[in-house]
Amino acid sequence: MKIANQPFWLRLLVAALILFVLATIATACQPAAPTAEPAAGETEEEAASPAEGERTLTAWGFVWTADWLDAIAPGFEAEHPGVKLKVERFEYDPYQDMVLTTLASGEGVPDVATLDPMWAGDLYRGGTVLALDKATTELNVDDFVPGGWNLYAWQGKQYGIPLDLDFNLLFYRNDVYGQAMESLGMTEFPNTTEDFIQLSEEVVEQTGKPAFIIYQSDYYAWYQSFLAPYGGNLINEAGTEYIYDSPEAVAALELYSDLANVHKVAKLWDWDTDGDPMVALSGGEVMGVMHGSWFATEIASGAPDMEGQWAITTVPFGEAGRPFHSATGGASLSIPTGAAEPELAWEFIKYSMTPENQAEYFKIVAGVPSLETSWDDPAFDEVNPYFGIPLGSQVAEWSLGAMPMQLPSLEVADLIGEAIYQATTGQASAKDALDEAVEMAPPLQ
Amino acid sequence: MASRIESLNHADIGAKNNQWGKFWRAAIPYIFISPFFVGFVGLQLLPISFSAFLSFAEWSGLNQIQIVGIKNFVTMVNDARFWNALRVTFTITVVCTILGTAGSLALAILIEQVRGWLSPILRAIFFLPSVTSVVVIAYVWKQLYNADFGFINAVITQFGLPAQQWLTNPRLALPSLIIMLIWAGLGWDALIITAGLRSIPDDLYDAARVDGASGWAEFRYITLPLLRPTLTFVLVTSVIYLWGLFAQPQLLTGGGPIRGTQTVALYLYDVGFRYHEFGYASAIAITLSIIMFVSSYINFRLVRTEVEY
Amino acid sequence: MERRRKIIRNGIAGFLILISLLYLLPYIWMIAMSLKPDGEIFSTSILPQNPSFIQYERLFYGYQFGDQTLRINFPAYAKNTSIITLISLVLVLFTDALAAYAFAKFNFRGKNILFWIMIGTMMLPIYATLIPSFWLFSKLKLVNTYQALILPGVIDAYGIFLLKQYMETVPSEILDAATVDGAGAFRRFWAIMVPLSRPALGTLAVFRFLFVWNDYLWPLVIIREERMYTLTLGIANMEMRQGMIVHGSQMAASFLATIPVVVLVLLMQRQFLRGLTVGAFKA
Repeated sequence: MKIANQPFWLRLLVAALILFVLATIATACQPAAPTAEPAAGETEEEAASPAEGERTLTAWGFVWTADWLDAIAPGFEAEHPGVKLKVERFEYDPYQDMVLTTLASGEGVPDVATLDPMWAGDLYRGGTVLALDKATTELNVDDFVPGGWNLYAWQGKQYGIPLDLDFNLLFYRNDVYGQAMESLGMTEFPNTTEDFIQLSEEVVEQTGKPAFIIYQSDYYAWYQSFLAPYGGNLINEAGTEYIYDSPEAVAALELYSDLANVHKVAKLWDWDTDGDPMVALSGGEVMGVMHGSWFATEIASGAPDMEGQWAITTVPFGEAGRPFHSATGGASLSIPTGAAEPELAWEFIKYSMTPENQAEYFKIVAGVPSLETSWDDPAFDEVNPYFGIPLGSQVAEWSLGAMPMQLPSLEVADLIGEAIYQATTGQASAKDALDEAVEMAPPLQ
Repeated sequence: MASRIESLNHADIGAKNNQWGKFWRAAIPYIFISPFFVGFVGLQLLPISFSAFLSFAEWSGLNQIQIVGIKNFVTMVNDARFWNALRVTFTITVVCTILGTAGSLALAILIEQVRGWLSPILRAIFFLPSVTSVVVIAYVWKQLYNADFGFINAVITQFGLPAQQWLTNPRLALPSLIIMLIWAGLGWDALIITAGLRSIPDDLYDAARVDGASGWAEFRYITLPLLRPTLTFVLVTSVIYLWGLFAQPQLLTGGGPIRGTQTVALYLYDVGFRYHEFGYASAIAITLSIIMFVSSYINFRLVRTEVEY
Repeated sequence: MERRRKIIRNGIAGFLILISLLYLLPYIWMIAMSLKPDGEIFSTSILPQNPSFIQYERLFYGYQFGDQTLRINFPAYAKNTSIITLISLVLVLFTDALAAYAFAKFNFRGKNILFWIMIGTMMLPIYATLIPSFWLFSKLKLVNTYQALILPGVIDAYGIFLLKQYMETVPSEILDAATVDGAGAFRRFWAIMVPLSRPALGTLAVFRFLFVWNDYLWPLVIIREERMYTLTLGIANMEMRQGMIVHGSQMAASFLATIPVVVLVLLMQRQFLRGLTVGAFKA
C-alpha cells in the first residue's frame, strides 16, 4: 500500500492527520497548569474546577508574602465555607514582568495581587487595577499610617491597601561612628545634613574608608533618602505634572553628588562595576549604607560575625525640624481589573487587615505593617540580637515620619537614574539633568 | 535557472478534461500555497497593518486605544533617546559591516590557500559562532570582558596594561560590543564568500598568470569584480541584520551604560514592553522597518548589476 | 618558485591556526568554567584546578544555598526547545515545499503578485509584527504556550524562495512523464519533487533548526513562566537570580545547549554548503 500511489485527496488527508496528531502531542506535552513556583515554598492548589457552591480565589504574592498568604488562608476559608484560596508564589524578578504583562492583557489575572509601588503607578493610571470604593467605608483609615495609606491613592480614589511600609534607614557601624562622635564631642547622633557631613568627614579621616555608600543611577535611593527629607516630590498634589526638577529636588541631587565628589565622604556605588556591596560592608571597606528595614535581615546573614557592630537610625539628611525623613515604599494588595471574584477579593483584603493577620505578616515577612493597631503584638517588642534593639517597634515608630510620595513609572525611574548619573559624573548640572528628565518623561494622564 | 516560461502547466498533460477535473487542476496551486498564505495573512500581514495603525495611536495594553494622529512621530523626532539609539545602531552597522566584510574576505581568501584536511577544520572553527546561540555568545563574552575576573583583563595586566572596564566604561562599551559582533559574524560571511570564490572559473586565473599578472593584479581585476554579487549580498544581509540588532546588546550590556549601547530595537523593546507605550513603540517599529526595507531594497537593486566576462 | 609558494602557504596556515585558537578561546573558556567548582569561578586561570561536575548537576538538582534550594528547570528548557524545534521544522518544510512547488512549476493567476508580496515580507523585520503578534496571541489566550512559540516561526518566505530556486532546476520532463502516467499533483509533489529536492530541503532544515533553537526575542516576549522557557531564555534568565553564583551553571547549560546544534551542522555540512551556493545570493 504505497502512499505515493494513493489518490491525492487521501494523501492530503493523511498529511493533515499527521499534522493534527503532532499538534495534539504538542499541546498534551505542555507542562501542566501553573502550580506554586519551586524553591522552599509550600504548594497547595489543585487545579480543580469549583464544584457546586465552591469558589476559588486566586492570590499572587512574591516569596515571603506568598508564605504569609498561605498562613492566613485557612482562617479565611473557615469564615467562608466553600471558598478555596489559591496562592501563587513567584520570585521577585520574574514577578514584575509577569504582573505587568498579565494585568495589561487582562487575561488570566488573579483576584488579589501584591503590588510594588514602583510599577503600581503605571497600573493605576492605565485602569488595570480596580478602584477600591469600599476602602474608606469598610476599613478604618485612621488605623493606618498615612504614609502607607496615601501611597496607594490616585486622584481621589484608593487603588491598594498597604501591607508593609518600606522606607530608608541609615545602617552604620556603631563602633566607628561612635569613636568619631567622641572625638568631636557629639552626644547625639546628628540629624541634619551639616552635622552629619561633619561626622562622616571625621569617620573618613579616622578610618581612611568611605563613611557610607551612595548608589549610582538609583532613583529609588535618591528619592527615598534625599528628595523626601528635602521637601521635594515626584508628582504634584493634583497628579498633573512632574515636579522632580523643583529647587528642592535640585538641592537634593546636588547634595547627592557633592557627598561623593566634594565632601568625599560617600562612595558612589555602581552595581555593575563594584559588585555586591555586602562584600564591602562585611569586609570593613565601607562604614554605612541606606536601605529599607528589610536590610536588617540581609546584613545579619551577610556579616554574622559583626553582630553588635551595626546600628540603625533614620536618614540624617535635611534641615532640622523637617516633617519627614524618608519616603514610603513597600507592598500593597490590589484587585486587578477583570478579576473573576472581585467581591470575594475585597472580603479577603478586609480579612487580611486585622491586627492579628498583620502581626502575622510582620512575623513572616519581617516588614513593619502599615496597620498601626497590629503593633501591639509582643512580637514587635522582641529584641533583635544583631542590633540589640526591639527592631519591630522602633521601625514602626519611625514609619510615622515617612512621607507618601506619588508613584511615577518605570520610564521616569530610568530617566531620573540617568539624571543622577549625569549629575554625579559632572556631565551636567543637577538642574539641567533634572530638567531634561522632566522634559522627556511621558505625560501623566 | 530553469525558466518559468518553459514549465507548462503540466497538470494539463494527460489529465481528465471534464469540468470537475479542470476546476481541481486550476485550484491546485492555490491550495498548495494556502498553508503559507493563510499563516502569512494572519501572522504577518494583519499584524503589520495593526502595527501601522497603532503607530498613530496611544495604548497601554488595557485601556482604550486612542487615535492621536502623528503625535507619536513628532515625539519621536524630539526624543533624544531615539536619536541616541539611531546613532548607536548606525555606528554599529557601518563599522561592523565594513570591518566584517573586509575581514571575512581576507579570511576566505586565506583559507582557500590552505590545502588538505586543515582547511575544513579551520572553516568549521570559524563557523562555530554562527551556530551558537546569541545568548551563549553574549554570556561567554560577558565573562571574558568582566573587569575583575575576566580573561581579557587577566591577560593585558600580564603585559603591564591597566585593567579596563570593558562593559561599564561609556567609551569602551560600544567598541567591546562591536568586537564581539565582528568575531561572531566572520565565519558565516567567509563561508558565503568562499562559495563565491569557488564559482570563479580557474581558467581566468590561468590566463592571467600566463600573461604574467601578479597576485595583487589577479585580485584586483579578476577576484574582486567577479565577487561583486557575493560581496554585495554579504553587505546587504549584514546591514539588514545589524539595523535590527537586539539580543547581543541586551544581553551583553543591557543597553548601557547610559544607553551607550542601546540600539533602536532595544529602545523599541523598552518603550513597548517595559514602559507599556505600545503606540509609540509601534511608531518606532514602523520607522525601523522602513529604514531596513529601504536599505535592503537599495542593496537588492545593486545586486542586479551584471558582470560580463 | 614552488618552494616559495609552499613557504607562503605554510605561513598562512600557521597564521590561521593561531587565529583559530583565539577563536576557540571563548568556547574553551565556556567549557572550562562549566567544570570549575564554585571557589574557582572567579579565578582568572583558564583551566580548573579541581574540575568538578557540580555546575552540571545543579542544572538538574538545583542549587543549595543555605537552607533554600533554587531550582533551575533545565530539563524543561531542553524539552521545550526540542519539541518546538521538531514540530516547527516539520511544519515549515511542509508548508514551504508545497508553496515552492506551486511557484516553481505552475502558472496561475496572481502568481507574480503573490510572489512579490512574499518577497516583500522577507525584507520586513520582526519588529513590525512584534507588538501586534504579542497582542494577538494574548487575546487568543495563547501566551506562554507551545502554539505561540511555534506558529510565527512557520511563516518563512525565505525558505520558499530557496526551495523554488532549487525546484526550478528540476527538469519538468520527469514531472510531465509522471502526469502522463496518471499521477496527481500532490503525488508528483510527494513522490518526485520532494525526494529530488532533498539537498535544498536539507539546507532549509538546518537554517530553520538554527533559527528556532537559538531564537531569543520572540520567546522573551511571549513566554512568562519558567516551566515554558526555551534553552535560550533559560540561560539568559540564569543571570538574574538574586545573589547566587550561577555563572558556572550558565556556562554548563550553554555548553549543553550548543552541542546539538554543532553536531547537526557537522553532519549536514555538505548539504548546507551546497544549499548556500545554489540559492543564496542569486537575485
